[in-house]
Amino acid sequence: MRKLFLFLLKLLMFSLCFFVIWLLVGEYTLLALGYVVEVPLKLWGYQPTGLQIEGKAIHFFSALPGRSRVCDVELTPVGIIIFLSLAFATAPVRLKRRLRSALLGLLLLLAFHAVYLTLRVLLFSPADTSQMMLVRFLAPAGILLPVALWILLFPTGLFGFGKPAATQFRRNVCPVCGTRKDDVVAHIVQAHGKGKKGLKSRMARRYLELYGE
Amino acid sequence: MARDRKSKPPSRRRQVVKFLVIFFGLWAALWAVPYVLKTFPPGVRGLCPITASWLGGILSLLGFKVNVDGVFVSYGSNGLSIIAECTGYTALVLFFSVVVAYPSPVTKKLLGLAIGFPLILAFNLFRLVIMALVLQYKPQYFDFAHLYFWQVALIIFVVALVVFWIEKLVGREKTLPVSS
Repeated sequence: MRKLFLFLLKLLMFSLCFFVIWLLVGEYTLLALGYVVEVPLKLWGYQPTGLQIEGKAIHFFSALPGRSRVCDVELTPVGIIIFLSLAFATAPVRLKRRLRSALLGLLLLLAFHAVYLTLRVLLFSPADTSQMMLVRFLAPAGILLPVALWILLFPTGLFGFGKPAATQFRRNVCPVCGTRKDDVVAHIVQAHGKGKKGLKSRMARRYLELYGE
Repeated sequence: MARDRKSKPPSRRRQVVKFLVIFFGLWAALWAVPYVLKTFPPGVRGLCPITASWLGGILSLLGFKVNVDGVFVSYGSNGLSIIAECTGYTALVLFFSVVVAYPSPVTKKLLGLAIGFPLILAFNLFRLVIMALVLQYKPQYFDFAHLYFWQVALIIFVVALVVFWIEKLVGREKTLPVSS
């Protein structure tokens, strides 16, 4: 319970911190994202002539008549705040690894938003075409992606919960029945089998993770 | 001791990859439903007027004169229209996908869903009530609350719920007393 409480407390604290940071620097982040998006737009002949941040939206101006677009980007800060809060609340991860994974995740998130915004600008159509359906389908991934990246880059996060603590295991004690044995793995196979009640049981798997074979 | 490949327990990486494949597959399939049907499924659309009536009920308890007309809730000098996204569909799909994909017994998955779904709906209702109050008393903060604050809060709530489910319901097995 302590582990769960600490995680949730840290998650709340970090999300508040990143929220405040976003309020201070969010506009510049969106501006940087807009400049990144301009590169593929140029390549696809959109002829961008500038951009402007308008609250929660980026306004892309084009030299082509009637092609200037306003794109809401509220899911960008949502994704970044969620991912970074989860990344920093996860324990135990070494600082260097945490920073590396957090940076990688952040770059992937921004890359996703850059692709999404590019598609939105290029494929925009007022009619409900299949292209617009694709763009609308991608939008909520902005919420899902931070959670998925957290699971991928910090597997100790989600998969660290619900596991028996390392302190519950002793090297020479069978994790299934609690008998003291010299060769615990051999004992598990012999007495409990290789199935879900033996070697594949949650306790046996955790034992093998800690002490190997 | 030599053991055959089949008896090896699945590694964490394999577990995570399997989880992510099922998770993304389920989420994409469930999220794709509205786009294939070109509308939200009847169950989700049916949830809109129900959510609206719940919201109306709570607002009237708070002393507002409320009028609920289908999915539209008018109160004080304002009104809110409850669309499918306002019912917590994204959060429900996210929670469902994680719970089904996570390696755990079916009974615990069902128990998790039975507990999680009502809690998500309740949290979503709480979110709507707070947003209705923000719209009434501090309308300048409505966009901020709607698009930033509550989106983050809802997803963090779902993650917290998932972690609670794993830690407390999927849980750890009891430590056995040591015997010789």
